[in-house]
Amino acid sequence: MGIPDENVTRLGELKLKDQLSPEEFGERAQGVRHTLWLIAMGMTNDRHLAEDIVQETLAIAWRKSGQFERATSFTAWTAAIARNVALNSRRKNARQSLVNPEHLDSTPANDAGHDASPINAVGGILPNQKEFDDQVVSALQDLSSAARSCLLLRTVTGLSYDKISELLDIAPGTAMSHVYRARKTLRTRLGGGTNRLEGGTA
Amino acid sequence: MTGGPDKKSVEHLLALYVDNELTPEERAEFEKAMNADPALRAEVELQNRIDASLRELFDASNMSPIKTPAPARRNPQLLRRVAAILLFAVSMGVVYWQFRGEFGPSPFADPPALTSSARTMQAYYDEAVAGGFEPGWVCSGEQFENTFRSRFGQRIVLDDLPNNVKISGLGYAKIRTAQTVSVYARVDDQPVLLFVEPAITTGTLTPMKEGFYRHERTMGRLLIHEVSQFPEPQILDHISVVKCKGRTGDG
Repeated sequence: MGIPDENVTRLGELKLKDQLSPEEFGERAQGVRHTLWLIAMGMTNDRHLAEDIVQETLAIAWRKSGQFERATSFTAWTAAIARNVALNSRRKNARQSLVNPEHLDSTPANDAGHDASPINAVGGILPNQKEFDDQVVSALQDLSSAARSCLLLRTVTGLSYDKISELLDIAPGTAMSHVYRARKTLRTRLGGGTNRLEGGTA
Repeated sequence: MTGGPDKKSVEHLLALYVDNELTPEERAEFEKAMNADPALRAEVELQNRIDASLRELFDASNMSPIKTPAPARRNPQLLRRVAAILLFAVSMGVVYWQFRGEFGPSPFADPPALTSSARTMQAYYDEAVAGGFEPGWVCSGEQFENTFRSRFGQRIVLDDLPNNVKISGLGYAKIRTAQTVSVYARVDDQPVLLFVEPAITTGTLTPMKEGFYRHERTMGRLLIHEVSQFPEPQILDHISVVKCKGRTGDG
Protein backbone atom coordinates (compact mmCIF):
# COMPACT_ATOMS: atom_id res chain seq x y z
CA MET A 1 0.00 0.00 0.00
CA GLY A 2 1.41 3.38 -1.01
CA ILE A 3 1.58 6.56 0.99
CA PRO A 4 -1.83 8.26 1.14
CA ASP A 5 -2.10 11.39 -0.97
CA GLU A 6 -2.70 13.46 2.16
CA ASN A 7 0.72 12.48 3.53
CA VAL A 8 2.41 13.23 0.24
CA THR A 9 0.91 16.71 0.37
CA ARG A 10 2.07 17.21 3.91
CA LEU A 11 5.59 16.07 3.07
CA GLY A 12 5.61 18.47 0.16
CA GLU A 13 4.45 21.33 2.36
CA LEU A 14 7.04 20.42 4.94
CA LYS A 15 9.77 20.53 2.33
CA LEU A 16 8.64 23.92 1.05
CA LYS A 17 8.41 25.34 4.55
CA ASP A 18 11.89 24.05 5.30
CA GLN A 19 13.49 25.90 2.41
CA LEU A 20 15.26 29.16 3.11
CA SER A 21 13.18 32.19 2.32
CA PRO A 22 14.87 34.87 0.18
CA GLU A 23 15.12 37.11 3.23
CA GLU A 24 16.68 34.35 5.32
CA PHE A 25 19.06 33.42 2.54
CA GLY A 26 20.12 37.05 2.15
CA GLU A 27 20.75 37.34 5.84
CA ARG A 28 22.79 34.16 5.98
CA ALA A 29 24.66 35.04 2.79
CA GLN A 30 25.67 38.36 4.27
CA GLY A 31 26.90 36.56 7.38
CA VAL A 32 29.20 34.18 5.49
CA ARG A 33 30.59 36.52 2.84
CA HIS A 34 33.71 37.42 4.76
CA THR A 35 34.54 33.81 5.61
CA LEU A 36 33.99 32.73 2.02
CA TRP A 37 36.19 35.58 0.82
CA LEU A 38 39.01 34.45 3.09
CA ILE A 39 38.72 30.87 1.86
CA ALA A 40 38.70 32.03 -1.76
CA MET A 41 41.54 34.45 -1.05
CA GLY A 42 43.53 31.61 0.46
CA MET A 43 42.95 29.41 -2.56
CA THR A 44 43.66 32.05 -5.21
CA ASN A 45 45.83 34.66 -3.45
CA ASP A 46 43.92 37.26 -5.44
CA ARG A 47 41.49 39.41 -3.50
CA HIS A 48 39.50 40.58 -6.50
CA LEU A 49 39.17 37.11 -7.96
CA ALA A 50 38.18 35.97 -4.48
CA GLU A 51 35.32 38.47 -4.46
CA ASP A 52 34.11 37.15 -7.81
CA ILE A 53 34.26 33.64 -6.38
CA VAL A 54 32.16 34.69 -3.39
CA GLN A 55 29.65 36.24 -5.74
CA GLU A 56 29.42 33.12 -7.85
CA THR A 57 29.27 30.92 -4.78
CA LEU A 58 26.27 32.78 -3.39
CA ALA A 59 24.51 32.69 -6.74
CA ILE A 60 25.02 28.92 -6.91
CA ALA A 61 23.98 28.54 -3.28
CA TRP A 62 20.76 30.40 -3.98
CA ARG A 63 19.99 28.24 -7.01
CA LYS A 64 20.62 25.13 -4.92
CA SER A 65 19.12 26.41 -1.71
CA GLY A 66 16.46 23.70 -1.91
CA GLN A 67 19.22 21.18 -1.26
CA PHE A 68 20.38 22.90 1.90
CA GLU A 69 19.38 21.12 5.11
CA ARG A 70 18.71 23.37 8.06
CA ALA A 71 20.23 20.94 10.48
CA THR A 72 23.59 21.45 8.80
CA SER A 73 25.93 24.42 8.76
CA PHE A 74 25.16 27.05 6.12
CA THR A 75 28.75 28.26 6.36
CA ALA A 76 30.18 24.78 5.75
CA TRP A 77 27.73 24.20 2.89
CA THR A 78 28.63 27.44 1.12
CA ALA A 79 32.33 26.92 1.90
CA ALA A 80 32.22 23.62 0.01
CA ILE A 81 30.67 25.42 -2.95
CA ALA A 82 33.27 28.19 -2.71
CA ARG A 83 36.11 25.68 -2.72
CA ASN A 84 34.77 24.06 -5.88
CA VAL A 85 34.25 27.43 -7.57
CA ALA A 86 37.77 28.49 -6.60
CA LEU A 87 39.25 25.23 -7.88
CA ASN A 88 37.44 25.63 -11.20
CA SER A 89 38.59 29.22 -11.38
CA ARG A 90 42.18 28.20 -10.75
CA ARG A 91 42.03 25.55 -13.46
CA LYS A 92 40.44 28.04 -15.83
CA ASN A 93 43.12 30.62 -15.16
CA ALA A 94 46.01 28.17 -15.19
CA ARG A 95 46.72 28.84 -18.82
CA GLN A 96 46.44 32.57 -18.41
CA SER A 97 49.07 34.95 -17.20
CA LEU A 98 49.93 34.47 -13.54
CA VAL A 99 49.82 38.20 -12.95
CA ASN A 100 46.73 40.01 -14.08
CA PRO A 101 47.45 43.72 -14.44
CA GLU A 102 44.04 44.43 -12.92
CA HIS A 103 45.14 42.78 -9.73
CA LEU A 104 48.50 44.39 -9.29
CA ASP A 105 47.32 46.44 -6.37
CA SER A 106 47.02 43.26 -4.33
CA THR A 107 50.74 42.64 -4.75
CA PRO A 108 53.69 44.80 -3.74
CA ALA A 109 54.48 47.69 -6.03
CA ASN A 110 57.97 46.35 -6.46
CA ASP A 111 60.32 43.82 -4.99
CA ALA A 112 62.82 46.31 -3.68
CA GLY A 113 61.63 46.05 -0.12
CA HIS A 114 61.42 42.29 0.11
CA ASP A 115 64.76 41.83 1.76
CA ALA A 116 64.33 44.78 4.05
CA SER A 117 63.44 43.50 7.48
CA PRO A 118 60.91 45.51 9.50
CA ILE A 119 62.87 44.45 12.59
CA ASN A 120 65.98 46.39 13.41
CA ALA A 121 69.22 44.98 14.77
CA VAL A 122 68.12 45.12 18.37
CA GLY A 123 64.69 43.64 17.77
CA GLY A 124 62.78 46.92 17.52
CA ILE A 125 60.11 47.34 14.89
CA LEU A 126 60.71 49.85 12.15
CA PRO A 127 57.85 52.28 11.65
CA ASN A 128 56.91 51.88 7.97
CA GLN A 129 53.62 50.05 8.31
CA LYS A 130 52.56 50.36 4.67
CA GLU A 131 55.77 48.74 3.52
CA PHE A 132 55.34 46.05 6.12
CA ASP A 133 51.79 45.33 4.92
CA ASP A 134 53.09 45.02 1.37
CA GLN A 135 55.68 42.54 2.54
CA VAL A 136 53.03 40.53 4.34
CA VAL A 137 50.96 40.33 1.15
CA SER A 138 54.05 39.32 -0.78
CA ALA A 139 55.01 36.69 1.78
CA LEU A 140 51.57 35.11 1.53
CA GLN A 141 52.56 34.02 -1.97
CA ASP A 142 55.14 31.71 -0.42
CA LEU A 143 52.41 29.68 1.26
CA SER A 144 50.41 26.82 -0.14
CA SER A 145 46.76 27.59 -0.80
CA ALA A 146 45.68 25.37 2.09
CA ALA A 147 48.14 27.02 4.47
CA ARG A 148 47.04 30.47 3.35
CA SER A 149 43.36 29.63 3.85
CA CYS A 150 44.00 28.17 7.31
CA LEU A 151 46.15 31.12 8.34
CA LEU A 152 43.63 33.74 7.20
CA LEU A 153 40.67 31.99 8.81
CA ARG A 154 42.56 31.56 12.07
CA THR A 155 44.13 35.00 12.24
CA VAL A 156 41.49 37.24 10.71
CA THR A 157 38.32 35.62 12.00
CA GLY A 158 39.75 33.75 15.01
CA LEU A 159 37.98 30.54 14.01
CA SER A 160 38.83 27.40 15.98
CA TYR A 161 40.85 24.69 14.29
CA ASP A 162 37.80 22.42 14.43
CA LYS A 163 35.74 24.99 12.54
CA ILE A 164 38.52 25.57 10.01
CA SER A 165 38.79 21.84 9.45
CA GLU A 166 35.03 21.71 8.82
CA LEU A 167 35.14 24.57 6.32
CA LEU A 168 38.16 23.30 4.41
CA ASP A 169 37.38 19.59 4.75
CA ILE A 170 40.71 18.75 6.35
CA ALA A 171 41.65 17.27 9.74
CA PRO A 172 41.94 19.72 12.68
CA GLY A 173 45.56 18.70 13.23
CA THR A 174 46.32 19.45 9.60
CA ALA A 175 44.75 22.88 9.96
CA MET A 176 46.85 23.49 13.06
CA SER A 177 50.03 22.39 11.30
CA HIS A 178 49.28 24.63 8.35
CA VAL A 179 48.82 27.65 10.62
CA TYR A 180 51.92 26.82 12.61
CA ARG A 181 54.14 26.45 9.55
CA ALA A 182 52.59 29.44 7.80
CA ARG A 183 53.32 31.69 10.78
CA LYS A 184 56.87 30.42 10.92
CA THR A 185 57.35 30.97 7.18
CA LEU A 186 56.00 34.52 7.38
CA ARG A 187 58.13 35.38 10.39
CA THR A 188 61.24 34.04 8.70
CA ARG A 189 60.45 35.97 5.54
CA LEU A 190 59.57 39.20 7.30
CA GLY A 191 62.38 38.89 9.80
CA GLY A 192 64.90 39.31 7.02
CA GLY A 193 65.32 35.59 6.32
CA THR A 194 66.29 34.75 9.86
CA ASN A 195 64.25 32.94 12.43
CA ARG A 196 65.66 34.22 15.69
CA LEU A 197 64.52 31.16 17.55
CA GLU A 198 66.65 28.95 15.34
CA GLY A 199 69.26 31.40 14.27
CA GLY A 200 69.16 29.92 10.77
CA THR A 201 68.30 31.51 7.49
CA ALA A 202 65.47 30.70 5.16
CA MET B 1 45.28 13.88 10.97
CA THR B 2 48.88 14.85 10.66
CA GLY B 3 49.15 16.08 14.23
CA GLY B 4 50.34 19.38 15.55
CA PRO B 5 53.91 20.52 16.06
CA ASP B 6 56.22 19.26 18.80
CA LYS B 7 54.73 20.46 22.05
CA LYS B 8 58.11 21.00 23.63
CA SER B 9 59.45 23.41 21.06
CA VAL B 10 59.65 27.14 21.70
CA GLU B 11 57.96 27.60 18.35
CA HIS B 12 54.99 25.63 19.56
CA LEU B 13 54.82 27.53 22.83
CA LEU B 14 54.92 30.74 20.83
CA ALA B 15 52.01 29.51 18.72
CA LEU B 16 49.99 28.63 21.82
CA TYR B 17 50.90 31.97 23.37
CA VAL B 18 49.74 33.90 20.32
CA ASP B 19 46.52 31.85 20.30
CA ASN B 20 46.05 32.53 24.03
CA GLU B 21 45.90 28.82 24.69
CA LEU B 22 48.51 28.55 27.44
CA THR B 23 47.44 28.05 31.03
CA PRO B 24 48.08 31.06 33.30
CA GLU B 25 51.15 29.30 34.73
CA GLU B 26 52.52 28.45 31.29
CA ARG B 27 51.82 31.97 30.09
CA ALA B 28 53.62 33.50 33.06
CA GLU B 29 56.58 31.20 32.45
CA PHE B 30 56.63 32.05 28.76
CA GLU B 31 56.49 35.79 29.48
CA LYS B 32 59.31 35.40 31.95
CA ALA B 33 61.36 33.65 29.28
CA MET B 34 60.39 36.35 26.81
CA ASN B 35 61.53 39.10 29.15
CA ALA B 36 64.88 37.38 29.52
CA ASP B 37 65.34 36.65 25.84
CA PRO B 38 65.23 39.59 23.39
CA ALA B 39 65.23 37.22 20.42
CA LEU B 40 62.09 35.48 21.65
CA ARG B 41 60.46 38.82 22.41
CA ALA B 42 61.30 40.03 18.91
CA GLU B 43 59.70 36.93 17.39
CA VAL B 44 56.54 37.39 19.45
CA GLU B 45 56.34 41.06 18.54
CA LEU B 46 56.91 40.22 14.88
CA GLN B 47 54.18 37.57 15.02
CA ASN B 48 51.79 40.01 16.65
CA ARG B 49 52.59 42.59 14.01
CA ILE B 50 52.01 40.12 11.18
CA ASP B 51 48.69 39.09 12.72
CA ALA B 52 47.61 42.71 13.09
CA SER B 53 48.61 43.40 9.51
CA LEU B 54 46.62 40.38 8.23
CA ARG B 55 43.57 41.45 10.22
CA GLU B 56 43.83 44.94 8.79
CA LEU B 57 44.44 43.80 5.21
CA PHE B 58 41.68 41.22 5.15
CA ASP B 59 39.09 42.92 7.30
CA ALA B 60 35.52 42.55 6.04
CA SER B 61 35.45 46.30 5.37
CA ASN B 62 37.98 45.75 2.59
CA MET B 63 35.52 43.70 0.55
CA SER B 64 33.78 45.41 -2.33
CA PRO B 65 30.01 45.82 -2.12
CA ILE B 66 28.22 42.80 -3.51
CA LYS B 67 27.42 42.83 -7.23
CA THR B 68 24.03 41.89 -8.59
CA PRO B 69 24.17 38.25 -9.74
CA ALA B 70 23.40 37.46 -13.36
CA PRO B 71 19.69 36.66 -13.86
CA ALA B 72 18.95 32.97 -13.40
CA ARG B 73 17.19 31.18 -16.20
CA ARG B 74 15.04 29.07 -13.94
CA ASN B 75 13.52 31.64 -11.69
CA PRO B 76 14.54 35.18 -12.52
CA GLN B 77 11.94 36.72 -10.21
CA LEU B 78 13.32 34.98 -7.16
CA LEU B 79 16.90 35.80 -8.09
CA ARG B 80 16.06 39.46 -8.56
CA ARG B 81 14.40 39.41 -5.18
CA VAL B 82 17.41 37.91 -3.42
CA ALA B 83 19.74 40.26 -5.26
CA ALA B 84 17.69 43.21 -4.05
CA ILE B 85 17.86 41.87 -0.51
CA LEU B 86 21.59 41.37 -0.72
CA LEU B 87 22.09 44.83 -2.14
CA PHE B 88 19.99 46.28 0.63
CA ALA B 89 21.97 44.34 3.24
CA VAL B 90 25.24 45.53 1.72
CA SER B 91 24.00 49.11 1.58
CA MET B 92 23.18 48.87 5.25
CA GLY B 93 26.63 47.38 5.77
CA VAL B 94 28.29 50.28 3.96
CA VAL B 95 26.30 52.75 6.04
CA TYR B 96 27.26 50.82 9.12
CA TRP B 97 30.96 50.84 8.27
CA GLN B 98 30.88 54.54 7.66
CA PHE B 99 29.30 55.20 11.02
CA ARG B 100 30.45 52.15 12.92
CA GLY B 101 31.91 54.25 15.68
CA GLU B 102 28.36 55.39 16.38
CA PHE B 103 26.84 51.92 16.37
CA GLY B 104 29.29 50.00 18.53
CA PRO B 105 30.82 46.58 17.91
CA SER B 106 31.15 45.24 14.38
CA PRO B 107 28.68 42.53 13.34
CA PHE B 108 31.16 41.19 10.81
CA ALA B 109 34.14 40.49 12.97
CA ASP B 110 33.97 37.64 15.45
CA PRO B 111 34.51 39.03 18.92
CA PRO B 112 37.80 37.87 20.38
CA ALA B 113 37.13 34.71 22.34
CA LEU B 114 37.13 34.70 26.09
CA THR B 115 39.17 31.93 27.56
CA SER B 116 38.56 29.98 30.69
CA SER B 117 42.08 30.77 31.79
CA ALA B 118 41.57 34.54 31.49
CA ARG B 119 42.29 36.56 34.60
CA THR B 120 40.06 39.32 35.86
CA MET B 121 41.27 42.92 35.79
CA GLN B 122 41.11 42.99 39.57
CA ALA B 123 43.29 39.87 39.83
CA TYR B 124 45.75 41.28 37.32
CA TYR B 125 45.89 44.56 39.22
CA ASP B 126 46.41 42.80 42.56
CA GLU B 127 49.17 40.60 41.12
CA ALA B 128 50.87 43.58 39.52
CA VAL B 129 50.85 45.56 42.76
CA ALA B 130 52.00 42.56 44.78
CA GLY B 131 54.84 42.08 42.30
CA GLY B 132 56.11 45.65 42.78
CA PHE B 133 54.04 47.09 39.93
CA GLU B 134 56.82 46.55 37.41
CA PRO B 135 55.70 46.59 33.76
CA GLY B 136 56.66 43.69 31.53
CA TRP B 137 58.23 46.08 29.10
CA VAL B 138 59.63 49.55 29.64
CA CYS B 139 59.46 51.30 26.31
CA SER B 140 60.14 54.58 24.60
CA GLY B 141 57.36 56.83 23.36
CA GLU B 142 57.81 55.57 19.81
CA GLN B 143 57.72 51.93 20.89
CA PHE B 144 54.62 52.71 22.91
CA GLU B 145 52.82 54.04 19.84
CA ASN B 146 54.12 51.23 17.63
CA THR B 147 52.77 48.63 20.02
CA PHE B 148 49.18 49.78 19.63
CA ARG B 149 49.55 50.42 15.96
CA SER B 150 50.88 46.93 15.28
CA ARG B 151 48.41 45.17 17.57
CA PHE B 152 45.25 47.14 16.83
CA GLY B 153 45.98 49.30 13.79
CA GLN B 154 45.35 52.34 15.95
CA ARG B 155 47.83 54.73 17.51
CA ILE B 156 47.32 55.93 21.06
CA VAL B 157 48.41 59.43 21.85
CA LEU B 158 48.78 60.69 25.41
CA ASP B 159 47.93 64.39 25.43
CA ASP B 160 49.61 66.70 27.91
CA LEU B 161 49.74 64.38 30.86
CA PRO B 162 49.67 66.22 34.19
CA ASN B 163 52.89 66.16 36.20
CA ASN B 164 51.42 63.77 38.74
CA VAL B 165 50.90 61.07 36.06
CA LYS B 166 53.81 58.80 35.17
CA ILE B 167 53.59 56.04 32.55
CA SER B 168 56.11 53.32 33.32
CA GLY B 169 55.58 50.70 30.61
CA LEU B 170 53.49 47.96 29.09
CA GLY B 171 52.50 44.40 29.82
CA TYR B 172 50.79 41.55 28.01
CA ALA B 173 47.57 41.37 29.96
CA LYS B 174 45.56 38.83 27.96
CA ILE B 175 42.67 39.59 30.25
CA ARG B 176 39.80 39.02 27.89
CA THR B 177 41.57 38.62 24.58
CA ALA B 178 44.98 37.45 23.45
CA GLN B 179 45.69 40.97 22.27
CA THR B 180 44.89 42.88 25.43
CA VAL B 181 47.73 45.19 26.46
CA SER B 182 48.15 46.67 29.93
CA VAL B 183 49.64 50.11 30.48
CA TYR B 184 51.34 50.65 33.83
CA ALA B 185 51.02 54.12 35.27
CA ARG B 186 51.18 55.92 38.57
CA VAL B 187 49.06 58.90 39.56
CA ASP B 188 50.31 60.62 42.69
CA ASP B 189 52.37 57.46 43.16
CA GLN B 190 49.20 55.34 43.25
CA PRO B 191 49.22 52.42 40.80
CA VAL B 192 46.84 52.77 37.86
CA LEU B 193 46.42 50.20 35.11
CA LEU B 194 44.95 50.73 31.67
CA PHE B 195 43.73 47.70 29.73
CA VAL B 196 43.54 48.22 26.00
CA GLU B 197 41.54 45.75 23.94
CA PRO B 198 39.62 45.68 20.65
CA ALA B 199 36.34 47.57 20.82
CA ILE B 200 34.52 44.48 19.57
CA THR B 201 35.48 42.55 22.71
CA THR B 202 32.42 41.16 24.43
CA GLY B 203 31.72 39.34 27.66
CA THR B 204 30.76 40.20 31.20
CA LEU B 205 33.34 41.97 33.32
CA THR B 206 33.77 40.84 36.89
CA PRO B 207 32.93 43.66 39.33
CA MET B 208 35.85 45.32 41.09
CA LYS B 209 36.49 44.86 44.81
CA GLU B 210 35.27 47.53 47.18
CA GLY B 211 37.50 50.57 47.01
CA PHE B 212 38.56 49.86 43.42
CA TYR B 213 37.10 51.44 40.33
CA ARG B 214 37.01 50.63 36.64
CA HIS B 215 36.26 53.32 34.09
CA GLU B 216 36.04 52.66 30.38
CA ARG B 217 36.05 54.54 27.10
CA THR B 218 35.58 53.33 23.55
CA MET B 219 37.95 55.20 21.27
CA GLY B 220 37.97 54.30 17.59
CA ARG B 221 38.50 50.58 17.41
CA LEU B 222 39.78 50.37 20.97
CA LEU B 223 38.09 49.80 24.30
CA ILE B 224 40.22 51.18 27.11
CA HIS B 225 39.62 50.40 30.79
CA GLU B 226 41.25 52.31 33.62
CA VAL B 227 41.54 50.41 36.90
CA SER B 228 42.64 52.09 40.12
CA GLN B 229 41.51 53.19 43.55
CA PHE B 230 40.55 56.59 42.19
CA PRO B 231 36.78 57.08 41.94
CA GLU B 232 37.28 59.26 38.86
CA PRO B 233 39.32 58.45 35.74
CA GLN B 234 42.77 59.97 35.91
CA ILE B 235 44.26 59.13 32.52
CA LEU B 236 41.41 58.29 30.14
CA ASP B 237 40.62 61.93 29.52
CA HIS B 238 44.18 62.51 28.33
CA ILE B 239 44.12 59.76 25.72
CA SER B 240 43.27 60.20 22.09
CA VAL B 241 43.57 57.75 19.24
CA VAL B 242 44.71 58.15 15.66
CA LYS B 243 43.47 55.75 13.01
CA CYS B 244 46.29 54.16 11.03
CA LYS B 245 44.32 52.79 8.09
CA GLY B 246 45.14 54.49 4.85
CA ARG B 247 48.56 55.51 6.08
CA THR B 248 51.09 56.02 3.37
CA GLY B 249 54.23 54.84 4.99
CA ASP B 250 54.67 57.82 7.20
CA GLY B 251 54.74 55.55 10.20
